Amino acid sequence: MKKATQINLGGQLIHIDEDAYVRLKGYLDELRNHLRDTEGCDEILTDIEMRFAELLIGRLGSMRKVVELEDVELVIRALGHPNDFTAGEGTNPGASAQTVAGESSAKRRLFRDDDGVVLGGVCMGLSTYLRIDVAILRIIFVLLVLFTGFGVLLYIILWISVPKVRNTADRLSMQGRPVTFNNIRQTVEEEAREVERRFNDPETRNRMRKGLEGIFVGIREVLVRLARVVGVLLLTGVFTAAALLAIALWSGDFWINGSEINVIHVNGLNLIQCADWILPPDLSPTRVNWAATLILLAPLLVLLYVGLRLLVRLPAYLARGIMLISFFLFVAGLILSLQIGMRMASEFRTEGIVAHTVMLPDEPQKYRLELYTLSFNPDRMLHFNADEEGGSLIARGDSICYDHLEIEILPSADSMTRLEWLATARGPGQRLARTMAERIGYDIRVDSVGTIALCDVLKYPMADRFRDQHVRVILHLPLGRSIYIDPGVVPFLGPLPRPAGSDEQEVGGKTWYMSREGMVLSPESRAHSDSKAQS
Amino acid sequence: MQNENEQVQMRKGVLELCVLRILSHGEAYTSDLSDRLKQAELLVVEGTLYPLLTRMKNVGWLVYRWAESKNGPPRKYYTLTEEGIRQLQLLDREWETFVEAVQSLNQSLPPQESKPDQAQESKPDQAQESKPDKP
Repeated sequence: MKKATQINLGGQLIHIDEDAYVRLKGYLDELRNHLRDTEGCDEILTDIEMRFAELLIGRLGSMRKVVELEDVELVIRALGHPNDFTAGEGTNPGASAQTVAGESSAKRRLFRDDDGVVLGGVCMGLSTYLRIDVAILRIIFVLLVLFTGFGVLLYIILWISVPKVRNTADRLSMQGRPVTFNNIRQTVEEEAREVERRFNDPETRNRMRKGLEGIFVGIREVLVRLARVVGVLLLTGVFTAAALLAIALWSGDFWINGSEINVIHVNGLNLIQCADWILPPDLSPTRVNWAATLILLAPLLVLLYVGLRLLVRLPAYLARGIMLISFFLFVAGLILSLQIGMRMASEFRTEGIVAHTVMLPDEPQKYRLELYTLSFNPDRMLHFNADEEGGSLIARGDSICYDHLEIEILPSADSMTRLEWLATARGPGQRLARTMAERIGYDIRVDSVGTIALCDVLKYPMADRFRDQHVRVILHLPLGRSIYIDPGVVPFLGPLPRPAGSDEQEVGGKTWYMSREGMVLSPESRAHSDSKAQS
Repeated sequence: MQNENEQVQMRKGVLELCVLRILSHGEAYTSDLSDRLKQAELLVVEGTLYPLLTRMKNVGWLVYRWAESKNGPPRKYYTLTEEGIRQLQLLDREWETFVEAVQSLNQSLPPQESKPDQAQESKPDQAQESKPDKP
């Protein structure tokens, strides 16, 4: 079995074996070079092409439909080698010299070939130039792209610097504007020309073919099959990615935040249902999802096309169409994302703080700081674990409970024991941010024996949306008072104002005494921990 | 090799005349022309004809018409123009005087081994050209 192609020779559609095609093309190229300075060169070439086609068709019958190398060789023998019939044709004495000059400049040139391209036709062009199967080059490029990233750069450089095939003359003679990297080309070309010359000599060719064909065909078969495998893998990958994307965006496990993708665990709900907790009313969650989908769809489309292209031959307009569509999808997604991003950023522009003060009973010498859990059945829950600040958003009726607390203990400036809590929220402007902060509710229970129970969540109306609402609780403890810190408080508690040079200690479950230097362990706790250390 | 090239050159000079002569008998397709010329062993490869015909057409000696062919591309059938006929007559006369001159020269000289490198010009060479050459 051989690979055959279709050509248009002298206006005739001819099926031709690949090796026969190479020979024919070589012949016509050579002919063009010899005739380039002859008057009416194009007409002569057309005549010869037509005659060539006629002779080839004459050799084909009802039994045989494809032109083989032998046919081409025979026709070439009948028509004659360009040297045979052009050497004396020149009427001017300089003709033969010109022919020689023409020959030396008739180097093969590298072109981008847009006949059956995937992207810019670089691989197709290289394939023609190097006479390597295009599938092999594509695999090499895909591997370079996947593993080094250099492939992308190389491809773009070639895309820009290598001219595109403009007409039949280019395609046939592979001549044209010189390529930018002249040096490389010349070296490669000198080699290629030498090989080509020998290769085109029928005898050498036949001998070489016999020996090498087996090996080359073997290697090529393997690589072509490999291309198929890569194609299948790519396609599988694309479909998997597309499915994941669809699931993630439209039924919920990811959230796209600027350029970051945070994984969010949603208990039994999808993200769209939670979008009204975050997005301002004028931003529909569908719009956000579209933005993300569009941006991710573009590369998927390209991959899809490359995968398909490795498996089957697709027309060039499809390549252009897909590239164009991908590009526009990407741009559209980008614009949409930017819009959304800017809108969201404006929502978080300024911070508003509202301070509340709770007076504590003055009598107790020892206070107790603990957390109480608001027990209720959550309607919906959204749990962030993307970063440390993240926590859980819990919907309950019309309000959201959020566990973003910061607790601090500071020495009191006077002898009053005070608890201050600062409700903080963000908004597009100072006034709105303050309004948001005002609407934050926080519950603190204090009893007469000095127990301070802080609620583990703050509350805000769901309609306010998530605007980084949080509460800072500051306990102002006068000198000479003690406080027992419950272990439950510790996750929210900032560092205690301890005397300089004191060693690190577990804070929870101990009683602390506010001294002039800072907070120290109370005698009882110290004794307790000492005895623990001894045992 | 140099010698071979000269032979090719000579043959080409005569070729123009021969093409005009064949066409004077009616229109012909390139392959008809090449068959005739090959028969006469004036032509080795068909390709030689194409540049020649194009040039002769451009000079105005020939015109062609397109004709459909049963299978394959359309063919160009060449015919002589008025000018072509005049040119043929001119070349014919020249050729005859040429051949006569060479023959009379040959007859007047004693038969001897010829030394092609020395005294011979291109004219005697061309006269010999009408003899068959190697294929």
